[in-house]
Amino acid sequence: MSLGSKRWPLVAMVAAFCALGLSFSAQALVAHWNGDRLQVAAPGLHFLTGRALERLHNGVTVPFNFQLTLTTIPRSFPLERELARFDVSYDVWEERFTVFEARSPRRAASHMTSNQAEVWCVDRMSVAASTAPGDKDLWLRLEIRADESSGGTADDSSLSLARLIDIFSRPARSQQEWVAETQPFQLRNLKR
Amino acid sequence: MKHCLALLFAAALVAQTPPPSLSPSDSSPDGEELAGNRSGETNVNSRYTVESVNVDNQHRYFISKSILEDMHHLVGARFNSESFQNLAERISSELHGYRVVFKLARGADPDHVRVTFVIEGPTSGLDVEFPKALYNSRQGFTAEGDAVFTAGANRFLFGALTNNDDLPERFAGIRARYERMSLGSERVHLSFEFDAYHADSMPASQSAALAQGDTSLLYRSYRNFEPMITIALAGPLTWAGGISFQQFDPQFTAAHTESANAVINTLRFERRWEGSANYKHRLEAGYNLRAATSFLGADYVYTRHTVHAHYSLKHGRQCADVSFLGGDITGRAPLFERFVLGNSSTLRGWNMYDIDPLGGTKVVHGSVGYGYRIVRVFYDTGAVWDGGSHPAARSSAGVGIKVEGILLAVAFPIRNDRVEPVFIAGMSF
Repeated sequence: MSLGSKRWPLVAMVAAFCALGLSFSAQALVAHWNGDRLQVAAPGLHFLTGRALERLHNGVTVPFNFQLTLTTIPRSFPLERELARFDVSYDVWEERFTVFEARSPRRAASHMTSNQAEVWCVDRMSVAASTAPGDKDLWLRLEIRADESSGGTADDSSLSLARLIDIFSRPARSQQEWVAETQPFQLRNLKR
Repeated sequence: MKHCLALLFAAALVAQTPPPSLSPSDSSPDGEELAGNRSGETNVNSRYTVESVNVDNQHRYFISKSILEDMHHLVGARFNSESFQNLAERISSELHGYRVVFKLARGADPDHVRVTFVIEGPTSGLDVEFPKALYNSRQGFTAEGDAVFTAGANRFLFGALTNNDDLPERFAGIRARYERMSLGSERVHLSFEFDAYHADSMPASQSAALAQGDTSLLYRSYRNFEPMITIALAGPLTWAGGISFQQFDPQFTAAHTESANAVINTLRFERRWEGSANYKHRLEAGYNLRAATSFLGADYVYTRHTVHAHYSLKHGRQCADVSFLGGDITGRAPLFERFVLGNSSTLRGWNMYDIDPLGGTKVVHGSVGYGYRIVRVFYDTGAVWDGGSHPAARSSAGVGIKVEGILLAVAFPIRNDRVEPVFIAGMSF
């Protein structure tokens, strides 16, 4: 099969639109139980990329702000929300990532590849599902923003829930942002 | 078969990749919860020692001495990302319009890292600088101010000054300079400077000129156009060459405008390094040659050689420095090229008009200083004289305090008959 020369621009345009659509579409999340809390897996979500990765390779600590929300209607006021901040740095000698969780109790993991670091952060996020209706469609949405305001880090004293809410209440502007959502699911259908 | 081998190899690599874990110092018994690190430093590279700190293409930018010193202090310490981030912000603030980031790289030794500050665009902005500001209780005020506009690799400077410190007369006027920071290569730098000054001869200089019967040395106004090229030769060594087209109007004669066009050559060396036991060294030295020839249409034909060197040593709260200046003029040089001593940097405490109101054709000067915390003491000695006469060595000493680059000092000329302290205040000493 061969495409006529007149069809190439059309094919290219469609391909470009598809690529553009893919780049803006939310990545898929998979919800699962962890005790009585809901967690997500995000196999296709990679946030250690682009400018943030370049800064990490330069030796800068890059804080990533995470927000996981549970809603009954996509993008409505959340039933449950969890906010967290992770300070990621890159070991220039070992070429591995280290992550510090900014909230108490402070946890950390080191000697990780980029994929392992991403999974470690996502695994720390969960929401309570006790108040969520079991027979209605629910969505989980994960938002991640790289904090580019400074290369500094935030410890417990400077990081507050109000500050994280404020961060996610504003548009991302020039910050790098990643978003992933689950398909609609019902709690009663979610295997424990 | 090849695919099977590749899969096996990939599986082996995955098996070798260690699972996420904490470094031992940060581990608690459960292997995850953070027990140590109360300092808030969350950068994994904080366990490495800083081997060196540099600014990429530093010769292209004016970075203050205090920032360079703070950079130097970080060498030998454990890497702290916040300290370097703060320093990057300070450099950025100083270089209005420039974005500054730091980059970390492996050092030459294990567990050591090299830090390089990289200065990036947007490279435009307006800045105001004060290269010199001082007060001498016997010679009055000297002030220089420049407005600097930067656009990319182009730098435009417009300045005004009134100076009674560098030459045997007070001169005031304006200057304008265009600099191209990169000409084909970042190692090559081009500049054009224009100066227009009005000179006020001091009574002592006029009397001395009349006594010598040579009032042609005195002039009313002075203009200079100076194209220069500067090349970074290797590491700390730079060479600058150009031509100075100088014209001036004699003060007492109705003669036509005279000129002292000269070829300029300057070789400059600057190096900072850290020795054992946290001793920080800095050496700066230079040689300058001005040769005014009739080939360039000069009415004044002369050759002026100047060498200078300055070495400083810092250790903790103590610092010491030694400097040397030497110069020689052959031929007939205009007044503004003659050497003077007795200003804010040489024979501090002496009045230049008491030493030689017309300056001299030969000079030699040395200075030593010591500081502890903000206290400074110094001792200067030197002589300025004309060829054929005997040099008279003079000395001075002083004590003062230096805070944020500003020195307040009382200096005493050392002589047998009387003591006349001079108060000096200002920066750019």
